[in-house]
Amino acid sequence: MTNKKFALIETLNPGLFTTIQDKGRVGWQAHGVSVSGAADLNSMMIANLLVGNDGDAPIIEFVMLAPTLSFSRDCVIATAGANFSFTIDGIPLSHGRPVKIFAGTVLKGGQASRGAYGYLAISGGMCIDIVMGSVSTDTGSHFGGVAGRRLKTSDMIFFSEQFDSLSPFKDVKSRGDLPFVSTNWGVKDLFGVEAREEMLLRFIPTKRWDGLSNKAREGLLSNTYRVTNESNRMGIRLVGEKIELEQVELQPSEPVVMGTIQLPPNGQPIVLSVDRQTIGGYPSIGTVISVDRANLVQTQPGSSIRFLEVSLADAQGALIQENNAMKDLFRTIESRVRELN
Amino acid sequence: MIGINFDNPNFYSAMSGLVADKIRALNLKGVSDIVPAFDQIAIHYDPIQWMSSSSETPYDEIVGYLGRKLNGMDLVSEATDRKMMRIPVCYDQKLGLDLLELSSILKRSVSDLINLHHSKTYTVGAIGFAPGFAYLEGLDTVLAVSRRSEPRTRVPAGSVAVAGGYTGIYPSILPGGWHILGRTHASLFQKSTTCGALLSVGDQVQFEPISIEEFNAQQSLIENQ
Repeated sequence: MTNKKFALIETLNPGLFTTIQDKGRVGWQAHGVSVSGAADLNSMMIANLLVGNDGDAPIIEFVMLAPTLSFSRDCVIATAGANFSFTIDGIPLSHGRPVKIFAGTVLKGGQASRGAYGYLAISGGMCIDIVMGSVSTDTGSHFGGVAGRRLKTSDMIFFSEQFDSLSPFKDVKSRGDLPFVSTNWGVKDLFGVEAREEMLLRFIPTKRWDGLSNKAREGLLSNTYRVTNESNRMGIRLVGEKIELEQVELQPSEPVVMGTIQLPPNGQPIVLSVDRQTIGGYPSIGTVISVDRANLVQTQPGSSIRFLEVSLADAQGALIQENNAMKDLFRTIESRVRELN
Repeated sequence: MIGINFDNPNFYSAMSGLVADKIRALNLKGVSDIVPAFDQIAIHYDPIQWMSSSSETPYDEIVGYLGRKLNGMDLVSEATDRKMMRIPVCYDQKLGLDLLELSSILKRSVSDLINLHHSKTYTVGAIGFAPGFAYLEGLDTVLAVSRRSEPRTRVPAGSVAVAGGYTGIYPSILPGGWHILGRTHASLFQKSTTCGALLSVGDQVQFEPISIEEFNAQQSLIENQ
């Protein structure tokens, strides 16, 4: 079988920080390679499944300001995660639904009123070189995605010819009154709180947490922290009540994970995110639980968060519950999408 | 993540590197990354694949399983016999950009500093900061200086440097604040699934001094390939 490819997407405006991601560069951390990957994995999965892709197929991720893209052919797309108010010819695009668009479409992105990370899935096979098992863009090490960097104006994204016929809506050949065709059903966002409410993040304490003074522990538990503008895919930087370490001793670096809460010398916590390094030198006092990953990354700069201590058993119990709920949701999406073919 | 801590500080990096290898060889289900660093090992696992019908949490399950598998292995004698890596380094002042400055800070001659650096056998304590960047333990205390007050925005690839009690090699052009003593052509990291990082935690490392002529000859060999 020939594997011809064609330029489906051209970047007219790249937005703020738009990259190609998948579930991440898993398995290479012992080599010092960051995991990277989609910040909000559930939203990535939902968007991909809505267009009939595998859940962890390559996807376009954007942060705070979405890109404007033009499409050279008919295709099926879906947005999920934060709603960046995409429009086609000034008409708002349906969010969280499979949408058929037509050759010549310009998809114009905006800002999200709620949430920080948005995802655009495109049906078919995005042609991105796989580096160490993943297409994820690692902008720190300059590999993955498009030339190892965020998208810029005039970038082309190529697709394989052979996946075209697997798209939902394959029988829809022309548009009606709207510049796109969409379903009458969709998926709701699964993260976040309304503006001005506080986001509650649950965390498991580390051994170092037990070594903190009562005052320091109370400080973290009873105050709200504001997400600052310096937050990015490396980490969510917080500002609020200063947490004092009683003994500041030089310690060797230790392995870190998604959600590790670090305490730098200024006493303002940083919660590590997808582009974190594999080890870290600041003391880590806890880990935000996996179930709260989407809420963590989707909290906009300027919003407030609060920490709640939970046990490892509670965290894993919550994960098992969430996993069952997500499996049900994914199955439902897959069967609804199959009906469109 | 599960952390395992050891109590034997003399060779904990050799031990954590070895134990990480042993755990890797178990091919545990749902385990994506095993990351040793100094006295700890992180095991990144999917709790969903370690659910049990008992009241045990997935964490208890995997920790219990590991304990049973590792119990009885003679790790101590194996940990004292780790792989030796020899890395040629040119300490010429054209490449050892901070040799003169360090010589005046530490009030030692440049040749003293070079001898102190290449006469030691080092142990890889951790890989991190950037792909393939190894933190090497065993540095002579004379060379245990803090970082430069003004970090460089672009440290040349292959630079062999010291800071914070460690020595290390920059695998690619990176920003960095370590004091540069020399340079190597050794390829510390390749972004391919058959290579990855040259060094692993627990490896022993020796630096072999080469002249600028030898360094340049290696350079032309590499460029001709």
